[in-house]
Amino acid sequence: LLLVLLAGFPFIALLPSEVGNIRVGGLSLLWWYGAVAAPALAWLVAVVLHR
Amino acid sequence: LTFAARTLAIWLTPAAWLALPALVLEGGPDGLWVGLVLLVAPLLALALAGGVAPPAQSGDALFPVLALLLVVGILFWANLVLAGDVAAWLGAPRWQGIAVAAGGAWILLVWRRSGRLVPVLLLVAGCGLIVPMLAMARGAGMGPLGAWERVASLPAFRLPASSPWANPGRELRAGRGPGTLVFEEEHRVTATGSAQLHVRAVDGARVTESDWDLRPGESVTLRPGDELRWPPGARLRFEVGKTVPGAPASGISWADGRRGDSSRRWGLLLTLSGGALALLGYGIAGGITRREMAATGATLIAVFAWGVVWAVYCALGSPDLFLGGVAVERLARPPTLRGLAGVGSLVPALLPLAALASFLASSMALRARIGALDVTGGGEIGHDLGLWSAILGGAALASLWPAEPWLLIVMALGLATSTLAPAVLWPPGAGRGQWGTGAGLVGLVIFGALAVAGQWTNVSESWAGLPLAYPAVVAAPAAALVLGLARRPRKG
Repeated sequence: LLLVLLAGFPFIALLPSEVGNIRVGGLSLLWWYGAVAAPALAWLVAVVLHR
Repeated sequence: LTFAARTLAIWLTPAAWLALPALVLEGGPDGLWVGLVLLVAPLLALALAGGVAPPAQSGDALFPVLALLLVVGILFWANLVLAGDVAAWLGAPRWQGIAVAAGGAWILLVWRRSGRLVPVLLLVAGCGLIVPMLAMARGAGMGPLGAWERVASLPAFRLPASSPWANPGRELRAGRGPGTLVFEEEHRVTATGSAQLHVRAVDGARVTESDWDLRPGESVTLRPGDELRWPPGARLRFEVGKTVPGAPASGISWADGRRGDSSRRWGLLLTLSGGALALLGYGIAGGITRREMAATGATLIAVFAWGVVWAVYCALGSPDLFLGGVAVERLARPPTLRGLAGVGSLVPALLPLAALASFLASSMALRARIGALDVTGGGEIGHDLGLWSAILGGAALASLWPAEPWLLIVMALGLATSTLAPAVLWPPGAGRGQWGTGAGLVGLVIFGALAVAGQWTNVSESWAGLPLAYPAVVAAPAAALVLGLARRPRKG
């Protein structure tokens, strides 16, 4: 799951029509994902799924 | 918290955490990706590792210790290079920065109970990161989101009047990048000391190369498209308000990043993930608790967030950091920080002090990490005065020559990936410890050969050039293959 989260970043960057560069609430989607969503989700995944 | 501090100290030495804002500043989303990998790789390593005890027989236990010693030696080298670069950036001789960092680490080596200081030193480092960031935020008058939005809408990065390269002019060291200044608009460059400049002027199909011997106060005017090369140590002055040579074309292009180069992304991912597995997971007996994982993840996120926000404030307040390519040490004290009202002289010194405290903590944590593999010696190798004096001394000597700290970090992690990471994922069974050593040696030889070849050949940007840029992508699978052979059932 952590690797999938990482792979999401280049995936968004390569989306057609430069979807990742669309600004939402001041940040582009790519930056929202890379700087906010992916780190938070990575922490959740690492903690919740940790045995 | 102690576990989180130890993990943070092993994984994020100053050359790694200060490279994070430098890479974000340099490449926008490309740097953000590197930061994300730096954050996720240790979480991945901690989730996968655990429960694999270090080899019990002394013969099999020797190779991992030697491999990790090599890795730690390169990590020390990277950080001492950074210490020298920061000292030079602050106006002191390089050797003084190296001596302070190496000397501090050596004193803590002599003091056997110094390991208890790791959390305290990291706390000090944390304060040293947060206070300058708050000062930059106060100076900018906006939060991180507003600052990013402002940077991402800049039509161009222009040299501010507060820049030391605008007034009075200062020595220019090439940062990461091509090592030439390409000018987007007409720009007068003035020598503030004697300097020999090389100008490559492109006029349509005609290319003219010329050398200029400038005395102090003399200038040369460059036109759009001209390239300037300068000797190390040249002191130059640039024009206020002109676009910064080496900066992205605009804030939009910085925020959007470049396209392509995906092979490098995957090479870096494998190198950093494998490095984390080896550094944090190899030979660690017993798993970690959920609480330890939560604390470690939270501290990693805090450092990651600091790096991204620091890069954004630097891009907004000190666009001159782009001049000639982003050099990591400039992020330790951006020029704007000194000019901010009400900041005083203490705040600009905090980040270099944080880096020093972080390096001292890392030096202790890395020694203890190797000590944990010393099953026969009871961890005594982590306190071996002669051994560590030699490693610190060698790294200090090597760091007298300039190098790129981040590349050394990647090299160290690539070496760890090639030699030790496969054994974490596919440990050789009981009584087959020699296969682990064999696999590590195969990884080491392939990594070394490809790394040397990469230095001597022109590495292409395509997938074909990936093994030379990131040798671990070949060396680690080769080592894993050897371990795969070891796991085959014995006949009879």
